[in-house]
Order: sequence, then C-alpha cells, then structure tokens
Amino acid sequence: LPEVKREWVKPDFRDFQTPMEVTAYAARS
Amino acid sequence: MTTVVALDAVPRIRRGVKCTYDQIREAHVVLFPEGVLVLNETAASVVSLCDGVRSVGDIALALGDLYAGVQPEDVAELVARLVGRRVVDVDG
Repeated sequence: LPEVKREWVKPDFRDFQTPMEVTAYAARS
Repeated sequence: MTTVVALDAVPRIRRGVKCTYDQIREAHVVLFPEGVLVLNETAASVVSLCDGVRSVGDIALALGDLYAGVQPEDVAELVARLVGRRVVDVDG
C-alpha cells in the first residue's frame, strides 16, 4: 500500500536558557 | 548576529549536548550546559540526522521519505538557530 507521509511543519523549538527558565522547566518535571 | 547555513554545510551535535525524549511533556528535548530546548516533531527529526556526515541538503532529502513538502530552507534555518544556541557545529 502507498506510504502515507506526514505533512511537513516548519521545525521549531522553545528555548529555556536563563536560570529562571531552566528552573521553571525542571519544576514541571 | 544572524548565522546563515548553506545547504552543503555539515552539522553535528556538539560535545556535551544530549538529545532525549521527555516522557512528561511528551516532547523531544535537547539538554546542554546553558539550558534546554523543547523541539517540535520535525525539529527533532532534523536534530536526529545531524551526525557530522550528512549535509543540510542530505538531511532535507532524507526527511522527504517521512514528510511531504519538506523545505530545505526550513532545515537550514533551524540548523542556523541551533548553531546560535551553541548546540550544533557546522563544517563547510
């Protein structure tokens, strides 16, 4: 059967770089 | 300063950078000394192919097997942003 490809979505990321952001990220783990 | 990455540039993950899957957020993440990046699905696919062997163009071509409508410029732009975050190095 023909393979169904997923639709390309522009690659992106969210950035947690300041100590406060990293702490907030870790707190939700 | 904005980094521009050519399609023949060869990206590789820097030493000390770890790519993993966050079970709680159900998202791929990149852990590096300065912080954390939470990737969307296509970005995770790009990062997984940054092996120091394939060029940006090769990566876009490989992703064409998985995704319809891959834009090589999107891949180059993502790699440039990752270089800016000191997560990826490029040769070429």
